[in-house]
Amino acid sequence: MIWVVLLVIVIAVVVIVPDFIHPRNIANVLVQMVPLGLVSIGQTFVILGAGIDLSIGPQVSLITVIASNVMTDTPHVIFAAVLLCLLSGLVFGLLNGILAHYVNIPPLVVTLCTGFIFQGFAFALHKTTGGHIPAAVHNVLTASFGILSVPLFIFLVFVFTGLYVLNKTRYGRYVYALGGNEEVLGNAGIHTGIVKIITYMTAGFMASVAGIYLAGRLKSGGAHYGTAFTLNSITAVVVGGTTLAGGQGGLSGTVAGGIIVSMLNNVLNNVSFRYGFQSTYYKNILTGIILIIAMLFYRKR
Amino acid sequence: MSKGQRTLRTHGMGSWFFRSYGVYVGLVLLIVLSGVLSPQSFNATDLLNLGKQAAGLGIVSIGQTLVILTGGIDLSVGSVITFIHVFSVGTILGRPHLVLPVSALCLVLGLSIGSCNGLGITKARISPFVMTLCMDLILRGLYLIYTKGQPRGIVPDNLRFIGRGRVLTILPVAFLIWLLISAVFIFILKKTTFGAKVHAIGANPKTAFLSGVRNDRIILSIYALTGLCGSISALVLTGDMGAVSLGLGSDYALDSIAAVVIGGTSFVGGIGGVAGTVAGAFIIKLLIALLQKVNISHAGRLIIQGILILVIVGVYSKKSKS
Repeated sequence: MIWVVLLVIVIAVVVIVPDFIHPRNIANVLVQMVPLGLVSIGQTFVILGAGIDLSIGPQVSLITVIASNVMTDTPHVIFAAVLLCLLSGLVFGLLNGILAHYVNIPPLVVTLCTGFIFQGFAFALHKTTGGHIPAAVHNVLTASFGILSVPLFIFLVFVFTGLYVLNKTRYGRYVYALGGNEEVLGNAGIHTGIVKIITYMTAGFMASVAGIYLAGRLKSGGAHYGTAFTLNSITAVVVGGTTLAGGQGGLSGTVAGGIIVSMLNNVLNNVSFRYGFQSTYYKNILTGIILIIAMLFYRKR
Repeated sequence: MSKGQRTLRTHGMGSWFFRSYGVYVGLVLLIVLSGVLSPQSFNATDLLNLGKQAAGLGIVSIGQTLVILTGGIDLSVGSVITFIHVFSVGTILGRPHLVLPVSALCLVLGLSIGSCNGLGITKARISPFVMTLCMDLILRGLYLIYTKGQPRGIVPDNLRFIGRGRVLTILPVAFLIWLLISAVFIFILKKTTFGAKVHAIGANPKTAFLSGVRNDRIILSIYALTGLCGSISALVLTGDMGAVSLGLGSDYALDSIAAVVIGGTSFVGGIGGVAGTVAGAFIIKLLIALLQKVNISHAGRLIIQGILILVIVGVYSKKSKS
């Protein structure tokens, strides 16, 4: 269903902006989608489990800041830095999960507050120079062969892993059950806390992958690099048909949702360039409106 | 609804006292602490000054209290403040005779923005945080388009009066406005059926509905009132600042939620009220002043406030669980 919507939007876009179909632009859209797509995979896990992660944007920012602070040109330092970033992401998720489950604070409030905390650390640690990302990292993460590129490959690996976990493993079914009815899952003898914490850790891990990629692509770290991802990832998930109440939807919808969100942003860039207005001002409005429309659309059905 | 049942359990006398008056005890302790830290600024004038500085936050937090009482949240208040702020200054452009009509227009605008939130939440059944987050983004886009990234305008003296003016050369006007609005809302929440309905919806929306409360109407009017509070707060802050800035509202979502939570209003419904929030806003402003005194940056402030909210919500939820 959502893929049909995507197809219709693509056709509409091609009619309005014929340049869109240019292979270079298509490759561009796909690459631009990667960080949002990565983050949205994690957000899908959390939302399927009836949670929400509002700290995802600050997490991405903080990871770009950490990466740009600790990386040097030495290969084993790069390796250690990547490990440190991934580990940090897991710890962020662990923190969110523990607070949401064991301290019994609504996930919305937990992640809003941890989001402020992560944002504070990102401000405190970020360097005005943007830090240092080795050229090698940048080159590897942006390498491409025609329409296929390293980031796209990374994204596809995570998408298929995510699809496998959600659809084929016992843990995937637990996540759906957690969102459907936590009490029943608990009564069935499953430790719901662990299932829930792992969804937040998945979100943190994916945020750190996106953060590392973003830092590599932009050759720097910044306290605002991830800001847009919080709402954009929620939009991708909701547009993709996963309900915020949890338990319904799936990852394939999110992928389509992510493509729609970043494609519309790309079109806005195109149009604003042609007519000479500032696209960033309108991006906010666009995201807000897409999300409201998506909520209305799924409410009706 | 397990949330509703949880609030129906009795809390015990000590817990009730702690929740109702603990915040004022905390406020007094914090004032004493700041007096000990800097004795030279511990007098009536400085405390009244604090009242003036906290007014903007206090007024918007009243709206946030109503919203959180019904189990919702309003993340758009920061953008509402900035939007109304740049709009009012940009339209008045230093002309004193325009202050009154433009202020009236701003109040209507605030009400309409809040009503949009309310309509999205009640009629379209969009969850409050998504609706207000979207509204936040839309308003941010709008004020950036309106100002083209560079706000301009001059604040005339009569608008400055509501932010900086003093009655009888001592009482800050902003503080009086804040106390007046707080008193009105305390009365509404405690003594009117509207107030009772707000608490009922917060405690258990289904029960409230079955007892004849029109939930949608109440919730719609609450978000509209929050938009109104946001615009009043924007005008007061504009008057106090006397200049125009795109960053004016940016901390107010966090600060207002912190003020409400510190004031003892609970996210799991129906408990708390405006009286606590007044103290909560005072505490937040005192805390910010203290942090500035010991040279803690904006970054440190975000971290500390985030942790503070989590700890307080955590403590309250543990208490109501046991």
